[in-house]
Amino acid sequence: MNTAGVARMGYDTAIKIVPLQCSGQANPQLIMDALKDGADAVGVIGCCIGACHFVNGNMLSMHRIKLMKQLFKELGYSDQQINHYTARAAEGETAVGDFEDIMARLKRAEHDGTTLPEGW
Amino acid sequence: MVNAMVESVTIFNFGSCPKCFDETLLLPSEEKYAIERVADPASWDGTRTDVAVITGYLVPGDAAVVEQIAANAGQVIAFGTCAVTAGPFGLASAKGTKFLAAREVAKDAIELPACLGEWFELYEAIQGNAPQRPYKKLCSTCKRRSTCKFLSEVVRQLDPATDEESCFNDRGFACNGYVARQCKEKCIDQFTPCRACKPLIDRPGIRMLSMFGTLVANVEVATEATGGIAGTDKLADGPDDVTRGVPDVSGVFFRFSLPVEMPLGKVLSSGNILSNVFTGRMIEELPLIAGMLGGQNAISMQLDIIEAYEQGTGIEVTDVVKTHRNNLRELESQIMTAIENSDAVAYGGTTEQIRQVAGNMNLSRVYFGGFKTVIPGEQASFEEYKAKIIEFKQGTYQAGNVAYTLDAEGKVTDFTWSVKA
Amino acid sequence: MTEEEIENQHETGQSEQSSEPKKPRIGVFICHCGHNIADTVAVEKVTEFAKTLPNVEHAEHYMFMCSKPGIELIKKAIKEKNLDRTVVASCSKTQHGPTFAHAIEEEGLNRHMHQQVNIREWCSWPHIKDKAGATEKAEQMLEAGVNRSRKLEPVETRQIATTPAALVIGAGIAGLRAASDLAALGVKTYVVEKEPTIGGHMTQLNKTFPTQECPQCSISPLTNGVANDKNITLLTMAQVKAVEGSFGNFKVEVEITPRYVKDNCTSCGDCSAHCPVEVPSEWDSGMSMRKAIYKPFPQAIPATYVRDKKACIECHACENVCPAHAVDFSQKRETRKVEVGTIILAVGYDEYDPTEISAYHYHQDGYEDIITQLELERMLVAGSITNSALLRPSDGKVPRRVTMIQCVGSRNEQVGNKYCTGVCCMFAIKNAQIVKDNYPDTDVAICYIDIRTPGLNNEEFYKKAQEKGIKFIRGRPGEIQRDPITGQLLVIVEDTLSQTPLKIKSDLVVLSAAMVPPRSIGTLGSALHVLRDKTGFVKEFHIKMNPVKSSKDGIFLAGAIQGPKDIPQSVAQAGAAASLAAAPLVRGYIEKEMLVPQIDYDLCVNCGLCISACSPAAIYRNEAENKIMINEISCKACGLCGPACPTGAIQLKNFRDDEISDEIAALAVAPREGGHVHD
Repeated sequence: MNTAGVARMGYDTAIKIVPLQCSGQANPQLIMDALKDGADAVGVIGCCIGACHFVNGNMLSMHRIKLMKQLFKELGYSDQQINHYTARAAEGETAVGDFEDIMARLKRAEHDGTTLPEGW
Repeated sequence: MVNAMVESVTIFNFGSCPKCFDETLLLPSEEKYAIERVADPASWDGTRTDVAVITGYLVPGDAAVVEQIAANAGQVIAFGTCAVTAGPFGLASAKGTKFLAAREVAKDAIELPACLGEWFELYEAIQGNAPQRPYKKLCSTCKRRSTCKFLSEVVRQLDPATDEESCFNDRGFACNGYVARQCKEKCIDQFTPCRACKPLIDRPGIRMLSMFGTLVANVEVATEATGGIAGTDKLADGPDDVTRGVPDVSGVFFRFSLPVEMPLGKVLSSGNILSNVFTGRMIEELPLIAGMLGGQNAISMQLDIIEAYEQGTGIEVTDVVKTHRNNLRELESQIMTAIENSDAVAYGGTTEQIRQVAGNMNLSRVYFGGFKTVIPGEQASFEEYKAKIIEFKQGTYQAGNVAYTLDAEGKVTDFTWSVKA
Repeated sequence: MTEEEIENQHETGQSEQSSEPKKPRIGVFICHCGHNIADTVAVEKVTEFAKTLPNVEHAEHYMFMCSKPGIELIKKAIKEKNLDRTVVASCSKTQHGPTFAHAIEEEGLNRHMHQQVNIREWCSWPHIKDKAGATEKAEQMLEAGVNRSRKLEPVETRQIATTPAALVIGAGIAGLRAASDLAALGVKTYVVEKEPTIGGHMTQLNKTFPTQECPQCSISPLTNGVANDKNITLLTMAQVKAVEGSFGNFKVEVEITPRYVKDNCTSCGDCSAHCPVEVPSEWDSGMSMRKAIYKPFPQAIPATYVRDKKACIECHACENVCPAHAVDFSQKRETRKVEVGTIILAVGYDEYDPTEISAYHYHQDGYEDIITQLELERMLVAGSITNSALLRPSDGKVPRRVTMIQCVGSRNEQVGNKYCTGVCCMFAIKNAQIVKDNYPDTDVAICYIDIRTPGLNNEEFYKKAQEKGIKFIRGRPGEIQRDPITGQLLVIVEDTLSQTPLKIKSDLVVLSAAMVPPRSIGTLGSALHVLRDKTGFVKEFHIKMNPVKSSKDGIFLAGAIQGPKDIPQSVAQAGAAASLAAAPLVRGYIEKEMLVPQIDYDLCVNCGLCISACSPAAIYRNEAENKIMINEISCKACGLCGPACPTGAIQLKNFRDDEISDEIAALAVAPREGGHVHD
């Protein structure tokens, strides 16, 4: 994210960043908090597979989000509003690419009418 | 805060499983307070009461009545998980059914979740001794021990014969015991995973999902490239070993908390509340769910479900099993009689007999092929009627009052129970 | 209050003031960063907005917050407004987070009471074209930062005294170099080696590339140096069994197998001469035999003989004949506890065993003339079983045709390993040249996929081999066949450059086997809690920026255990490891921020998943109390324990679920036109 900023790569102001120690610290409870508070989509971005500073934090997050996606589908909602991405710290465009992917998937879900309701 | 000067207790029954309501028959009648039991709250006359006990699940249409109750009661107690958070019926919220938690209307309600509600806990709460945090934990009484080493496999069922010691979760089989309080029914003792009907924390579903998702860290999860020159990786769409192991995330992790933790679902309703609860569930979980919400018909509902599948797939059961099942059906009519007559002694005696055979009032021991654990005194024939690992066969199954269809994954796609409530 | 007083207050849990929890007093500082932020984000507007937030006692903006005057403004505000925490909205946490943290520390606040909000890289710079949007977002980010700062707690930094000693596990070239460098720095060093001798695989080699030097000669000053250094305690026949403690203070349990020969052994060899038992010599790769009581090779250090208890028939001939009365059958296995501050892991590699590749028939009856490069080295070395002659194991004749096969066990998706060992091209070319130099009439061919000889002098080495007439055939042999009548070995390979299938008649086939992790690393790695990657080699901390640190603080890596490499790479890494391992010992302490998780035992169900999730193994179960506890020194503050916990009992300080949730609350809401986001 820093690299993207330094290179002045543009993205939508709708993207808000919450820094964590490791993507493995991204708690599904917090993801649900974000969605309930009004976020339209949540992406967890971590290190590349195999390169986690803390061994496998990124894999832990991936598994949890996979279960959450299944849950959303079971409730008749799109599973595209949450995802786990990996990005390379030195390549800002990977983070920006991930942001664009989040937005594109959200738009598709909005178009299909399968987004989570506002506040619950 | 209720004090010892309680003179009147009024018990109300809302939603359609009246087991918690029936269970209040066991409240000692020699106590100083008068107990009034109101089976139809809509027609209640609104008399002031010291303690109002609400059982059964609530829907928005009940709000007015609950408000009236709260206005005319010194203390409201929500007894049983249905009154607290809609209980297992809450799974119907995936199909758009709205529920009401007692505390949304009666803000100071004491909450006594459990499925089946624990009458002695209610007895204490009436006296002013409601359970306080820190709650006792299920894990501290469970015989099994966890190591919680990362798993590379998620399984849908376990063979009961093999293992009395390891935690189910360690075997890759989700058990929500970690987020549950100590309880009376102890499904876990009948080789049945706990589904946290009595939660230890406020958001048991999402936390248990997080925990189990972490535990299965070494299971293959499907990823894909994000595409483009700057692509890295992300989770792929589509099933993988994680989702194949838990094909019903809401049913496993959110069985008793779906309406409070997740938004109202948008899946097309199947018509009635029972169908809405059962569709989407895995066949192997059906017996326990039926045992929990079948109410006075729990035994026959459960046995019909089981026998429909056994007949449809050619699973044979021994004569010993048949005898015990017939005994259970017999006990079901006995208990209905006891309830009709408000006969607490007969009720108490019959429930004890049911517990002897079925393990507990959630009938956790009863299963496809036989029983999951040994009925006391039946050790010798346990080998014969040990539960088998059933395969998940697509098809339509029918027996007694029950008819349902399973898809290729062994999930229920429709369900009918043709007994009028 | 001074920092020390604040720390004491935190530690004792008592306050000098009233027992009521103090309301936070937050100071907000918004930086223009020249044009970088202020041109896009309306900083005055954001400052006014900050003033409306609860608990914000001071808010101002300035051109360059990180400059001297900027820092002065912060300090002034802390003093005048009695602030107890700060939020600076400027650039990134990595860039100036420490600057501001340090500044508030100088004013007596704990440095963890500072919250950094990045409205430059994360706001003004990516949203240059959308000023209104950027300003709205900056307001939200600021509110999130303020929310986050409300519940921050001070975190103490502890100085932990280190045990002034180091442990080197493995006495091959890497371990010896590391031990020698440590001793030169004055560090008391233990060297633990599982074999009876030191020097490792390097001592088994005939020559080293590219200069064809004698490795025994090269390594001898080091082996002798280490054996005689008064700062070094050398333990051979010793293995690390268990490790407790953490960086700065490890307690290591070393198990020493007895030699059954005392230290007064004069190395005369009489015992060996009289021993009736012969077994294949492991050190000689099975090329020759040794006795049950033996010295692995003449120049072995320590020079003390050793008795192989399993092979020994207990005739006691050795004991009777020893002039120094050094043989002692009564010796027992010993356990020694060693206390050190840092550990260097240098246990090297094993040669891949090609038996797995059935098509190559290694070690099968009738195929005795198929050997590995290490076995070839043992044959060619001075004083070998063949007296350095190149002879076929089957009939003792000089081979007329030698074929070498590269990438045996490397670069293979089906058997062995996917990786390239990276050293075999050089050592195959080295051995090919030695054969060709000494046996000019012998044809030597090398079957390869690619020839990889990077680095100075190595390409030249390869060229020289070609000039000597060594043939290079580009193809991976599918099979080694054997003519059933003549016994002739045939290497079946396609020359992919000329696209010709070949059956190369060979008198001797030499397999360039991969370097694989040593067998012992499974249990040793677990005892040390170091992570290994998929290949089994021990994983470095960062593949680019820190190949010497392991995943566990205080344990460093040297040599092939961190991945196949050659001697100069091992030596260089060993020097780096010695330097890193010595630093905290020479300084006398390590500094650690106590940013650690806290456990609410009312919620903890003792499942232990946090223990599995913890990458540095900083969480453990106290067996006596059956309670989960935290090793505050090993903890890396990664926070992986939090989401693993089913009940939320374990929460990382300053990163608790409720704290991050507060931060999210301000960011998740859609901004409203014209005003801020919360009423």
